[in-house]
Order: sequence, then structure tokens, then C-alpha cells
Amino acid sequence: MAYSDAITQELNMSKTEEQTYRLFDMIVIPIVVIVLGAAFHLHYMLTAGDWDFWVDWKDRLYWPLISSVSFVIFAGAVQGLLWKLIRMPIGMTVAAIGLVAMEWASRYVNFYMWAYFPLSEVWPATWIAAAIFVDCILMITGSFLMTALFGAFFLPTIFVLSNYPMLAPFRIPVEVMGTEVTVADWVGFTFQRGGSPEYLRIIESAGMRVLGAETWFISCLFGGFLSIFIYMMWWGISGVAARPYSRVNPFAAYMGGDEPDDKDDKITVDAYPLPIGNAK
Amino acid sequence: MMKDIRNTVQASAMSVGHQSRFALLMMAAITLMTFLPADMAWGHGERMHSPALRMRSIQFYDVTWTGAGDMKVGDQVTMEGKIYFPGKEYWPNTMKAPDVGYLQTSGPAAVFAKVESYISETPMVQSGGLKLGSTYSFKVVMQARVPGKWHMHPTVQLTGSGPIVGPGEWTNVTGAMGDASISGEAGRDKEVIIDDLGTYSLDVIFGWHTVWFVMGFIWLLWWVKRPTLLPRYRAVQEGVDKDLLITKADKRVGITVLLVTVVLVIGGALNADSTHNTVLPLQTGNVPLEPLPLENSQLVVKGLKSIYNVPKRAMSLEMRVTNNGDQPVTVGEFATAGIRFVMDPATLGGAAGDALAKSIDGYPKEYIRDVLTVEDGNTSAILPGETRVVNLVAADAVWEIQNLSEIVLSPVRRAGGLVFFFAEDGTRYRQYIDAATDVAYN
Repeated sequence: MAYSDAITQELNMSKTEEQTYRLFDMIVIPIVVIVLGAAFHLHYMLTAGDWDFWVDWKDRLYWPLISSVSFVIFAGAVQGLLWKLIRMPIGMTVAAIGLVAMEWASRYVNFYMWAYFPLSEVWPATWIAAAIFVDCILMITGSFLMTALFGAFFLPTIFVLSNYPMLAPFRIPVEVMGTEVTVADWVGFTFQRGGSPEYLRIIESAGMRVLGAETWFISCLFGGFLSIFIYMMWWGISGVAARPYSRVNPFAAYMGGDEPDDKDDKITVDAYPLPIGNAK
Repeated sequence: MMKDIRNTVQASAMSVGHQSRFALLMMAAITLMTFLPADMAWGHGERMHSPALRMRSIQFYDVTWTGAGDMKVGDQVTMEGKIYFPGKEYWPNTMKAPDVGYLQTSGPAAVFAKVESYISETPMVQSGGLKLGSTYSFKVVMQARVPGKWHMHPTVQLTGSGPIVGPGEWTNVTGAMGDASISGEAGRDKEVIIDDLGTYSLDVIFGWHTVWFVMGFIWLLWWVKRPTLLPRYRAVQEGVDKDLLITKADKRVGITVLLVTVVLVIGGALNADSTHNTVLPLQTGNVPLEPLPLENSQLVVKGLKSIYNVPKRAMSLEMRVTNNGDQPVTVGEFATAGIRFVMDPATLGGAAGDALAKSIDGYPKEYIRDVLTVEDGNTSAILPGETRVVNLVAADAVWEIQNLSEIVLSPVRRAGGLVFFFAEDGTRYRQYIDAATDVAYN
């Protein structure tokens, strides 16, 4: 881990400053990853939970669609925040690693150790490949619009393809009591969920057989289309969060400062205001 | 004026100090509480459904458990029995018609694995359509997975209504988790041998997750190996040369990581596609379920009224019975919410008494009460052509134990259940009754 680089030299930082800032990195970065991961996990489980919890919910139609929309809300905002504040194209990867790590912790402790569901039923999908892809597109293009069009659009596609090697063994046929189903269906049947019967699954059951009935293709296409707009919206919202706001310390008088008056009792934008859009 | 404000602020600051200490103590107390030993929650809410719902919806009867009791991991328990859906005129209007239902069990999570399940001999891998006013047989075979003392109920899940839980039986499973597994053959030509469904394909899952975690950490480490947060924040604000923020080396590494990612993603998917020559979408959809044939009963039974006596913990059921058959019949049992109130088989005598005794043999003792009486003491058979008003009384603490006495406070004060009559030759006739419930306090 370096203390100094071209940026610190350009800013004429002293050695002490560099070391202090590096210590700050080492303390804050792990905390940020854990807190973001926990918050993202909560959000993702509340919005796309069942599709990620259970192997027999990972269908062709809803799983890519709902997962992408849920993922891009949080990951897009984190990416926008880190890009605008520190010009680092790693926000989506940070969010994805935090999310998937928290998912594994939850599946192992809550689902496996506590409720005895086998890991073959409750393994989480990975988002890291899709996140790296979008982060790299942002770094190469340096443009949030290009990232939306050529990165966010491919989120569901990369998501499905990167999870397919794990999912395919669960999609082979198996005969259960004389009925041919997939191994995933068999897993869900065998290790039953008390409050979630088979009919409760929101999965592909029918649909228009247009476009050659290529359900994966259609759901990834539509999911990508939605992801573009949701990514843009949350990138914009992250711009609001990237503007540091503050108010005068009401306890200033007890710290040797002046008593704040009514005029000071309002929230103001600090120095270094950032543009909402893509900073230079 | 200024002094007043300052005093207020000082008082407020002191108050904040007290609150902080209180909050700290609370946090410490709550943290310590997490170390207290927690006992296992054995129940799973089967008694907490509304009494009117349990007594007036699905009636489980003739339920048997084969293999329950002391078991080892890998042993199987088979639950069999019948489920009766009251007709549309009796079905609670708070529940939807059972157009889609699913057979499973209620118990603590996946401590048992479901091996087989059937409704009327139709496999219940998927859900099926059920009809009001019909009777179905069911069978569920469960294999013990986790050692412990578990309560096992057959349960029918209904769309729009949720689970209706049948009577349960205790199992005491010994051994170790992993002593047994669920195995099978999969694939188009059954070429994939699955030794343990619970650990199936985990090597592939762990492998790919590891690959992507490694890739993600490589990408992150490339960036955070340099001074990260505050120096870059200052650089962005002070508008340093943007080539310092994203260098050419960054772009080279970024393009390399992007290419490796795309190659791994596409290569992995193509490899998986070629390895598994037949893949199917998840299978769902309704299966048709045929009810059992109607019973040839010549009895006409109408529930007139019921009264729950709070201090006596007794439910009385007044009903009018018309015997249009050619054999005398005697009341032997009233069953509701999985609880069976039966008469002394000796009262019925002969083949009828034997049939009653046989029907309750092996049923969990907590659900059997031989307390059923006729209020006027007239237990004589109802003769062919006779119409008689019979007032059954079932007095037992089980009404409170099973929370059915909550009917007193229920927004729907109606009781329902199955009344079983026995002919002299031992033939059993089943009738459903439903009656408004009054409450008596003395």
C-alpha cells in the first residue's frame, strides 16, 4: 500500500499528511464496504429476496428482470457517488462484493445453520462480474451516459451469463414420483419452505411465444432497457448525496466558539459544491 | 433574554448528557441480553389460527402416522389420511375458494426432507386445483434430516388463504445431520448421479463465486493500493489534471480486467451449455386433482345451534338427524380442528363399537377425548325413518388447550365439524355440520 503517488505530489502534501490520509483510508474503507454491504443486502433482500434465496425461484423471466432493477438502484448510486467524489470507477464492484459477501454470511448462518436449508437450495447469485463490467465501461468512457447505454444495459445479460454455470446443473431434468421436473424444482420440493408453497413462486408460467420463445433474451433485453433509466435516475440522486451539507454547531459556545444566532440555524451547502451531473 | 436562552441550552445539554448515559446503559444491557440462553421454540403457531377458521374449513380425519416416534436420521414417517372441504354454503367467506392448493407439512423448517406427497394418488410436486364439498385422500412421506424433537403436521396450503394445519404427531430424531441423504439420477439419460441433493453441485457454486470474488478484489486492490479517499477528493475539488486521476496504466488494467471478465463470463456460460445437453425451464402449473367418490349416506343432518359453556369448558351441539337409510345408526364421534371427541365404544357396543375403537387406534392421545355424551342420555340408535334432535356435549379442557375456546371472542361465532355415525354392522357415515355458537357463562 503506497503512501504517496502522483496525486499527493501534485497537491504538495507533506509526508505527515500523506500518512494521516492513508491511515484514514485503512480505517474508513473497510467500514464503508461493510456498512454499504449490509445496507445493500437489506435493500436487495427486500426487493428481490425470494428470487435470490431459492434455487427454484431463479427463473428465466422474473429473476433477471427484478434482480437487475433492484441491483442497479443501489449499485448505480454508489458508483455515481464514488465517481463524483473521488473519481474512482469501483463503486459498483464495491457494492457487489459487499452484497454477495453479506448474502453468503446470511445464507450460511441464517438459512443453513439456523433453519437447516441446504446450501444447494439457498446459494446466492453473483453480481461481481456484472459490476466489474459496468465499472470498466465507466472508466474507459468516462461518461455516465455511455455507461448507462453500454454498461447498465448489459447488466442483466452479464448477470445471467455469469450465473449460468452455477445454475445449469439445477436445470437438468429429473423424474420425481413419475413427473419430470428440473433438479431445482426437486430441491424446492424436498427441502420445503413452511410458509412458501409451490404455487407462491412468481416464476415464468406462460407468456407470448414471440421472438422464438427466447425468454432469457427477452427478459435480459427488457431488464437492460429498464436498468438504463433506473441507473440514470440513481446516478442523479447520488449527486445530491455527493454535495456536503452542514449546519452550524449548536454547541459551539461550549467549545470556545460563538453562540449561533437564528440566522445560522439553517442548513447550507459547504464549499466544494459539485455539479449534479457528470463532473469534469 | 440571552441568559434565558443560554440556561435553556445548558439545561438541554445536561439532559443530553443524562440521555447519553442512559442510552449507553441500555446498549450494554441489550448486548448482554443476547448472551442469555434461549430455549427452543417447539410450537409453530398451529393453535393460533382463528377457531372459526379451524373448525369450519378443511377437516382432516383418519390421519395416521407410520414410523413417527423414536427415529434415526434417514428414517421415514408416512402421514396418510383424508381431507374434507365443506361445501360452498359453509366455506368461510374470509377464505378464497381452494382453486389452487399444495400439500406439505408444518414443522420447524427443513428438519425433514419431503420424499413423496400425493393428493388422491396424484403426485404433488406441483400445486393442484381442489373443489369445495369434496373429499380427498392424502399421503406424505418425510425423511428425518436433523436430530431433535419435532412436531409434524400435514398441511394444505391454499392460494389466497394460506396454510390450514392438520393434527400433528411428535417425532424424536436421533443421530447426526448428514447420516443420510436424498439421492437420485438426473439428466436426459440419467447420466448424472446425485449422491446428496443437499450438497449437489456445491463445488461448482463455490468455485465460480471464488473466481468472481478474486476478480473483484483484484479490481479494487488496483485502485485502493494508492492513496484513496481524501487525496483524491481534494484532487477532484481542486481540478488537478484528470490524467492523474485516471492514468494510462489504469486504462490498460481496466481494459484487461474487462476482457478477462467478458471471456470468463461467455466461456463459462458456453461451457455450461455444452456440458448439460438438456436444460429445462422451472416446471410449474396446476395438476388436476380428482376427489374421492361420494359416500352413500342416507342420513340428513342439520346443525341447529351450538353453545360454548365457558366455566364448564363444554361445547354442546344441537342437530336434527333424519335416518333415510335401512339400518339404525348411532352417533359415535364429533371431530373438529383435528380434535376427536368420541363416545365410549362400549356405549355403541358390537361391531359399531369395534369400528369406533379401531378408528381411533394410534391417533395422538393429545387429540383424542372420550368425553362425548348426549345431553338427555338417549344413546339409542336412530331408527330408519326416524327424525331426532340430538344434543351432543363435548366437555373437556382441550377446548382451552387448543385455543378453540377463543370462539367466545371471535368475530365469527360459528362452530363446524364432522359427526360420525355408526351402523350396527360397523359401517361408518360421515356428516358435516355447521351451527351458530352462543356463549354461556354459568
